[in-house]
Amino acid sequence: MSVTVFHYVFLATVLFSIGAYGLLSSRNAVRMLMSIELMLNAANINLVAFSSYLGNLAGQAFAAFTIAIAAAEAGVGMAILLALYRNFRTVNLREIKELRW
Amino acid sequence: MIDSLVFFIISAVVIAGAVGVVMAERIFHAVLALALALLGVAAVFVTLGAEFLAVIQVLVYAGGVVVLFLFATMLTKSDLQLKRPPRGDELAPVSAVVFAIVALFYVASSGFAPLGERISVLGSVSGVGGLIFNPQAYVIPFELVGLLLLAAMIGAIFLAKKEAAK
Repeated sequence: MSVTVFHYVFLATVLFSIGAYGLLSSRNAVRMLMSIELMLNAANINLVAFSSYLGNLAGQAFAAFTIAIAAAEAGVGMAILLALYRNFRTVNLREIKELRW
Repeated sequence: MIDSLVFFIISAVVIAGAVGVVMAERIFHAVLALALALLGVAAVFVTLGAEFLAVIQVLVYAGGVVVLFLFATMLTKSDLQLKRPPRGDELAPVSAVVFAIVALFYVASSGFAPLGERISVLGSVSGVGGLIFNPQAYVIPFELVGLLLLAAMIGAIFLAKKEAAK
């Protein structure tokens, strides 16, 4: 039995679901950002898998763009976290109640 | 045969790392599990014939983003808080499991199987580079990504710097 594109899409779905669970369930902002990275990686696996099985390199080019944007997102997220920590002395998002109803 | 064995081993590593990110008690261990998962994704790229993306993945993620997360963990002392995720709302796991079931059903019922064998894409590095720098293809998105990275860098410095004493 050979590996088909279905296997890769299945792996990406599982990875995305784990990331979504982590994003929804965690209180710590650092862990939430890490879960977002997992979900972006799942999307990248899909792009590269279809690129490889269809013989079209556009998917790989878009995956490279996704990696760059994920790095920018991580950097800005970290900066926001540091500013939050400086103001509230915590990164527990359940304790930060400003700007919420 | 050996293909599928390699694929299943790599998938097990990726999923173990992802579960570690979500389930680890300490954030520090979660960051190490994230490094494992990201290196596993790089290995997935290698099995797909995308060597260029695998190298980029190791450089940017395992080299840059993981170190950034380690810095954030230590600077915000978040390893000392919240060693256990507090119990209380079961809505998050239920909705995530429902989402996973629906997504897996959709994947299983869609017709990806006829794509068949992998087409070996020739020259991953030169192919992707030629596509990105081709004026007929993606050179404008490439420049926009550069602009976005510059804006993100300036924004991150602005957000993270200490406020001037008034």
